[in-house]
Amino acid sequence: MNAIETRNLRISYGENEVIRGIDLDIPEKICFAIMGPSGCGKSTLLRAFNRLLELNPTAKVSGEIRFFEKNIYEMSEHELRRQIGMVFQMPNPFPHMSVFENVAYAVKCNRMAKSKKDLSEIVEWALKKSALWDEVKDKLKEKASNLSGGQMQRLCIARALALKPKVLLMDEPTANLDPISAGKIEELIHELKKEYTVVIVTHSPSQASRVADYIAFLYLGNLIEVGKLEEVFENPKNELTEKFLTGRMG
Amino acid sequence: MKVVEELESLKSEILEMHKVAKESVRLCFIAMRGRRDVVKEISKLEEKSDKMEADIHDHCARILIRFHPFARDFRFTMSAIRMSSAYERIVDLAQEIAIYECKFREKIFEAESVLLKMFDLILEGYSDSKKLFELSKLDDLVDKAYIEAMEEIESSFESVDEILAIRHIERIGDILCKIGARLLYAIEGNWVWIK
Amino acid sequence: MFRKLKETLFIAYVCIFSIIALLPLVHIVFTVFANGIPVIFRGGTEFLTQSLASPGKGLGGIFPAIFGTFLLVFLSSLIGIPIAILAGTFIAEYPTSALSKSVRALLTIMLEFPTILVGLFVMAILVIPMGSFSAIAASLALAIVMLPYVATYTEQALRNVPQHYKEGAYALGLRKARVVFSVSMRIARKGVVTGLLIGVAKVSGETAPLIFTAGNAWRSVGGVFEPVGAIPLWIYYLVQQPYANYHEIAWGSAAVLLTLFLVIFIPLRVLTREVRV
Repeated sequence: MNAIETRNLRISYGENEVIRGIDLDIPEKICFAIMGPSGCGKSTLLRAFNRLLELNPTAKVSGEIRFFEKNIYEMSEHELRRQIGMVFQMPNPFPHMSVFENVAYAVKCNRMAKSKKDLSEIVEWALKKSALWDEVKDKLKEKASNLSGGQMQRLCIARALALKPKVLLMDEPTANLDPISAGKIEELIHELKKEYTVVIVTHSPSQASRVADYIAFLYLGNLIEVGKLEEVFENPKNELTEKFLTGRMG
Repeated sequence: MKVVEELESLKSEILEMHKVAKESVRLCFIAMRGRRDVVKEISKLEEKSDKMEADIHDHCARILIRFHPFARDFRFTMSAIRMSSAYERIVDLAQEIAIYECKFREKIFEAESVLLKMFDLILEGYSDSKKLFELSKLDDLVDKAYIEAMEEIESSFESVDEILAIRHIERIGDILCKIGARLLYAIEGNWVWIK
Repeated sequence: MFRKLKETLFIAYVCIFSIIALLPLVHIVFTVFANGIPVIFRGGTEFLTQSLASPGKGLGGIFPAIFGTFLLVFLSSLIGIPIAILAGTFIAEYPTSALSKSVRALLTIMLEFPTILVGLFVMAILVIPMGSFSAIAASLALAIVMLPYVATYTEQALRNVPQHYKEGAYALGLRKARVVFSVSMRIARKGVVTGLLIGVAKVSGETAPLIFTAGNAWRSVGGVFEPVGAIPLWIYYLVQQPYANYHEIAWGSAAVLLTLFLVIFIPLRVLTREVRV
């Protein structure tokens, strides 16, 4: 079963068509990279998967999107977003909440913990899963804004994992981090993709080459090429993909 | 773009090695005809090709580290490493052939023009990769010359050096096919065997 | 050489005009304190605890006015702040709806609306039916004056919450109400509080809305449905009296009012400079 499928997906902001009829199949439990030059629609595509696009009143979506073979519009967007976690380019843990509260808050709101003890266990589990536990276990009550950028991003990952999603969407997660923090997150992705489907948007072919199993190349809203990473990167079939990978685009 | 410059420079280095290798083969046939004065020249070429191979390897390593190339850029860099080693092997063989002091029968000289044509075919392959497939036909001619020369030697053996030398000639043909295959991979992206 | 001269002239020009612009403020503060502080010292603590003296006889106290000011600020905040915050939140979170656009236009008008007309309006709807001036009527008028300030500051503060925090909250499956009140509002806290304090500071010094609604109270401190005094109101009335001691009391009241005002506003300005947007 594919984690996410799209059929003839079209997205426009008002009159401006940003995604022009895309058919995509994202298999389970792999790391799937979506790449392309700026403005090709990758972030928009990602936000369509968890219906976050609905926050923008000018966004129009047509075509099918299926999540584990269920139409994403046939469930509540809140339920969908619990099963599809998202991590953003700018680490955004809630600044007014502590580390513990950041991870626990959505768990509480979604009534996913049976007791206080259960909640603590979930928080600890999520922080361990995102390789942050050792660094924050003595600082759980401290404000999240005191953490470093890389730690904040891992906190955001923990926060999403605490809801036990099946898919994790990552929109250029390391773009604002230093190389060492970025490296830690890439290591984490290697672990996470054993249990979760990770869909990562990245503008860096090098990063995709380090973490992804499959890649899809988007250009001006069209799906130009998709396939196994080694095949596409060694011998791309499309001229545009080649231009992008070798940096000759633009 | 920096990476384009580097790759262009790498390409000219490979083409330079190609010239050196071709020249060494041309000279080795002259040496086979009895002219000993070219032996010194071939030795110089051999030294030069050793250095060129090392330089090209180093250049490729730097390109890989700095630019993390993909697609055609990556394939060409990978091919350049193997092609430079192959050319260096050819010059080695040519030098060895030149050093052997023995009399050569006529048959093997049929390979001379074929081998030189193979070099030219490789150059043509840069602009028309389909031509590279013709290398296998030419290699067959080299093999034919070798086999017939060997039959002659079997009936009237004269020296070991002669056998070794004509084996090297046959080897040079094979290596040129390999070079063609590497070039084809760089351009087209497919791994093929040209025999 | 000539350029240096032009530069010096320009700086001098800017300095002189800045000083001229500041002069009125400095003059007011200076005059009020120069005339009022001696009165307070002469009156002692009784000035702040007793009620109005008889005409021509001493300083007495301005306690009813102080009590009135605090009562009115408290009541008007109680009435005005919740409505203002809700209005501000509504227009921030639903910026495109027609209702939201009308509310925003209304608030802009209310910001500039003559406050004396607000007083007249409340008089018509509350004072006359009730048959008397009252603290509640005055508070309602002040609440109406305060509303647009608090609402627009609330809207701004919420607008300034970076979009990625809201996105992050929605991406966790949280519903809109939670995102607005538990996330956006908490992050915008400082901005909203600033708005509150600015609204409060504004109404604590308002006089015109009180004229037709508060009545006045010289000697008593009454309940919510009874007439009430306030420091600006007292100054307004006392100055019109023929008695010299009343004029002195007016200066003293002015000094008290200015002190209260500065005590709220100066820390407020310091606070707002610290808020990171």
